[in-house]
Amino acid sequence: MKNWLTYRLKILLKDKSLVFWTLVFPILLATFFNLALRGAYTNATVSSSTVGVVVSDPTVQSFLDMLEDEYHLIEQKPFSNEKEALAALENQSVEALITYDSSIHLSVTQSSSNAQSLILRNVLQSYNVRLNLIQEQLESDPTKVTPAFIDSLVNVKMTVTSIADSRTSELVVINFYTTIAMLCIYASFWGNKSGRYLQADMSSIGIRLNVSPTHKWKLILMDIAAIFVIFALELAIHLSYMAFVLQVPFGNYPGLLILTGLIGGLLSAMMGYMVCVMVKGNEVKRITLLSGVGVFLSFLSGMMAVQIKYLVETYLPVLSKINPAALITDNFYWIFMESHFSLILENLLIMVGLTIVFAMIAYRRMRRVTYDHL
Amino acid sequence: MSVLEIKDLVKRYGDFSAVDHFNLTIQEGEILGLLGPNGSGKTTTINCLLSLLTYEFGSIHLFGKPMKPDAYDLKQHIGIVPQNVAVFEELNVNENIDYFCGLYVKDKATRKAYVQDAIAFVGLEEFTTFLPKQLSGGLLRRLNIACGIAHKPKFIVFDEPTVAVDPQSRNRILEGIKDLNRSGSTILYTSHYMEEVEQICSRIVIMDNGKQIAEGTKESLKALSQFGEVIKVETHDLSDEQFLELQALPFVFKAEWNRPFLSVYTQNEKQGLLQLMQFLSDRSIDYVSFRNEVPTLNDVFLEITGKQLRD
Repeated sequence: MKNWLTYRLKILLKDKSLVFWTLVFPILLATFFNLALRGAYTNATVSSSTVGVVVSDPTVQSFLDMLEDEYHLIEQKPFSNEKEALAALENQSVEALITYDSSIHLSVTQSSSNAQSLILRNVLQSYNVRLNLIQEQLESDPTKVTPAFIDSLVNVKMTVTSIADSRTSELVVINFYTTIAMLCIYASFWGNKSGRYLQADMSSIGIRLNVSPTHKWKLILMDIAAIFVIFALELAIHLSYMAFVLQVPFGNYPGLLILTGLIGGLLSAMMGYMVCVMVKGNEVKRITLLSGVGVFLSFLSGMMAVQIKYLVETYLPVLSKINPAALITDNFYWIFMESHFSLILENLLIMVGLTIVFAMIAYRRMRRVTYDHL
Repeated sequence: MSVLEIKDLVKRYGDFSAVDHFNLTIQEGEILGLLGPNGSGKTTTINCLLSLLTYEFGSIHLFGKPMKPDAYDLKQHIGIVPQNVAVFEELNVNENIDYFCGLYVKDKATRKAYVQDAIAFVGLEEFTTFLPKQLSGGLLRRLNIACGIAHKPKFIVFDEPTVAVDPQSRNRILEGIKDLNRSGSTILYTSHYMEEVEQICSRIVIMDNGKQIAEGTKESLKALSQFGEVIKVETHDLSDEQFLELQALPFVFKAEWNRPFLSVYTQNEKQGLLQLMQFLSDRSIDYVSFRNEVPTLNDVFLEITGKQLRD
């Protein structure tokens, strides 16, 4: 088995054009982002948004007052009930809506500036996390909840200014993360290339392999192993370049990021393998299909325009949950924001599940296959 | 014991029957030649027997057992040399043979020995580190063979293995196939080159339009021909009237005159050459050269089907 893996790696890696598109191109793109986007968000992004407010809690209200008076992040417009506030949001007389039950919720209109809404969302999420910490501490050991403790948690100054710093600007980082997502999605081309050799109607080598006494599942497993090794290597190179050359921050959970990348790449590779097995015709047709599918899924995940993502989440939530591109990019975002860990795990499990489904479909199709014509 | 039994095989593409109630039996130790022109159904038959193609009707048994896609015990003993070269462009000669041998032989030491044997068998010792693109057509075909026989199979299928191959490589390949047979392999050899089939096959089946049209040894097949020999004379002196007179002679089956080449197909008589020489001498017809030949399989095929074996 070991020599097969070596040979499979050699066969795949000698495809220079594939290595370019799956490794070099994302690196070039990340380099371009670094040149084009550094400094793009300094000083200019923190501005005031008109925000509808439906909040009755005095602690939360004083926090919102601080955002308005000290940081000029919001311009409050109070409403007595949520229905009026939602109407104002729909007719765009306010750009966003803040409500409170046990935590702060933010709703934004589609026309809201991405930078503004993301900054505001980040600040409010950060506040929610800190508020939860205080509440947990109150329940476990109230004696430790001192004014200094509260002050250290609710001080949002660092949060707001760090957002304006382009080095840690969430928007800049997310753009870099899209190149990782692209790397993952392009792994489908490795799957497509590898799957071709097993098809007797696509390759003379497929005739030999189909006539051999080696079970198909072993041959597929070898293919998957080789693709995984290649992709892991590409991911390592890409992440190392971003971390050490471009100085892109990966937050406090780089292991989770790498795990998402690895599973995401394997998922895409199996998708490519499945497409190769299911779609007959010439190589150009399959590559065009895979490219189109990759671009379309990326578009639906909001990689080109983030508003699309919110539309899909609102009107087709199931699609968000099975779109590999959305699963990967959502996880990257949440890992960086250090939030929604349960959803991160959920997405990882969905990705593993989809990988298994694609693998089973491919195996089922190839097991005991006979062709109508060769 | 029969290694392969194909009974009443039918493979259709829509209304077209690529294989039409075809029967074939190969005994252990034979080299069976499957001869037919392009499009006669040879490769389709092979792909059916290897369980690569679906077929509408018939049965295929290998080593006495039904052949199926998951008959891994049978596949262990099959070697295939496909019509199109089936090697990895990215691996060198040694690696290609090792890769495909590894599908059959798991033990590393045994496989290494088999690979060395296969390389020696096809004469590629000096080219083990060469990539396929660095090999000539003949050497590439030898590599194709090595990949199919390295695991020492009991039954080997050669599907037109000498297409576009130089004469030296072709002879080497044909001699190698005879060696394989001598060492115990049963061989099915398909070709539209009658010379190859005549050279190595112990029994020949002629196929056309998906059907078997003749079967036997090369001698018994040639005996099917209605003429005994062909005498070819080069002469510039034969007139059209004399040619008509020649055609009417009793020992002449048929004659063809394409100035200056005269071909006379005689009846099954041993005196044909003497009688023709007498005819030419009586009319003072000078000739440059002459030779006589026995009928070829192509002649047999032409008589039965009205077509040439090779386009």
